[in-house]
Amino acid sequence: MREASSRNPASIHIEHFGTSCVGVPIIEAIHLNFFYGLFHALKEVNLKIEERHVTALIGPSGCGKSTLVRLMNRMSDLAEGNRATGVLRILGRDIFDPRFDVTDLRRDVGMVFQQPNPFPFSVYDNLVFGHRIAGRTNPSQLGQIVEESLTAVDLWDDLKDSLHLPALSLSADFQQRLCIARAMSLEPQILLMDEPCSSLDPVATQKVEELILRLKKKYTIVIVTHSMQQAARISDSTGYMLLGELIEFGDTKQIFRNPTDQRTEDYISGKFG
Amino acid sequence: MIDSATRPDSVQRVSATATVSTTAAEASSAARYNARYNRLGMSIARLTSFFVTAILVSIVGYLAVRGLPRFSPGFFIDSPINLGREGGIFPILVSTALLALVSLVIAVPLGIATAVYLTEYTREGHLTLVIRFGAECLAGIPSIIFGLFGFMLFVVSLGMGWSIMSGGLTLACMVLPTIFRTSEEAIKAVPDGLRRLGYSLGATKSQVITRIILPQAKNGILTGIILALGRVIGETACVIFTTGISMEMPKSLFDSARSMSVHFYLLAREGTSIEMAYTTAFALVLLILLVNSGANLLMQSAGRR
Repeated sequence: MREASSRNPASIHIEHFGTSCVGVPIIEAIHLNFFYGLFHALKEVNLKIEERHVTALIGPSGCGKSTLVRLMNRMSDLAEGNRATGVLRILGRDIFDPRFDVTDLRRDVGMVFQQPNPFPFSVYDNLVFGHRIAGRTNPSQLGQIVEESLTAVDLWDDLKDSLHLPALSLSADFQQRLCIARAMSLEPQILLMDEPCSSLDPVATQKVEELILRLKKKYTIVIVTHSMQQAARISDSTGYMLLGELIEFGDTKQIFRNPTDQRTEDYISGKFG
Repeated sequence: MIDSATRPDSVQRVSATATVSTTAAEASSAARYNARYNRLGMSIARLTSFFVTAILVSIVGYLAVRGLPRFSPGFFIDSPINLGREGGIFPILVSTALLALVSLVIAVPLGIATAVYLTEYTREGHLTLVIRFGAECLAGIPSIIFGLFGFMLFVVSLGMGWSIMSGGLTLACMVLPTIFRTSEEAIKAVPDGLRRLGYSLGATKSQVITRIILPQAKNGILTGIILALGRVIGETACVIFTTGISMEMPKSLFDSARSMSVHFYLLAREGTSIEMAYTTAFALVLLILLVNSGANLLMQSAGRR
């Protein structure tokens, strides 16, 4: 993507849509709708997410923020009866195109889940899982991947001597960082995080947030969070969602200091939610 | 509360005082009552578990007493002499093993594949209900009916004759539901989160099944296979109808053969040699115990990993 950004044919699009977006939109939704059976979960969502930005999605429970994130790597495919309309372009490709390979997409768009969810394997096997299924089995190559990804989440020094411990025996904080490392080891361009800190204590949360700020240098991150403070601390852009609509999307500072929509202001000032 | 029972005329007053005095005294009497019932329940549970063990010990003990006099290494490595009155059971052991092998080689992949299909590839609906109900009915059919079915289909219609192949196929039909249902339950028990996680790391559906679901469900599936193995080794009626009673060493899978339980049945039923019958029975029970403890060890080591 670094090459892509220097070539940058997509900038024409940006001017065309004429928003505050200055870089390349790496994720772009145009009139995106999503249905769980008959339930209209996302309504006419339009947004553009820039490369190497942290974007936070906030909003009350059930507002569709997790649904939106799960669409970005098409995890929403897994349930039957789901249907999407509109366009969701990721890395320049329309991901609803029937010819589109979902497996490829998921290698480009990593995901970190709400609960730390290591496989019940060893630390090592967790980290190399994605590589093994992609057919990479060279031990020295895998060893290097393990070291690099653990270093990136600041766990290498703690875990380098216990790579063969079961991952489930680690603390929740270590487990979640391991999961982030596992998602990153595949070198995705985008990292989706669905409330990654909701099961962590404040200290562990702080560590994960620091990690997110460091990762931003290399990855585009979309994070769903219940915590407005967290959104304010770590994100560059924020989207506020309510009942399936993206009410407001823009620069985090602007959203929190000077929201344009009354509903956003109500939520941020704590009138409800 | 005793008051209200002895003096029904003053129920009103007593119940009023009773609500006030739901006190320490009553609580402790309730605790004593609970403790008493707890102890009673515990002793009943202890007694029943003792009985279960006692039944096993007395069966194995009885067989040991009757069977041990003829029990020797030679019993396992010699061929039967004089219709089984002398000698050993070597060809019969081999036949039993071959029967078990053939039936499991057929039933295990079929059972697991069915379970994977029903859990991972179909939605719950009429089809899955029918298949599951069918499997349950199949599990409830008496083995002699399977024997008859195998005789008509494999031995007669398909012309396989009395053979290990006919017997193995019939036994496979018999244990298929066991393997299928236990595998299905084991697969269902794999948390959905692991599937999603697999997909999120770029796995295809078949990779999720082979690298995540089946390894996670391995213990449950293995339990089903061991149960099936136990049934196959111990099966008699079904085997007599389909594999026959030849005592010779089978030269191919299409030879007639005799399993250990059939051997025991014939020795005892026809009064050929009660001693040898008991020795065979003891060996059979030991074999099944061995299979079960082997499975237990295997599962424990898998659980630790």
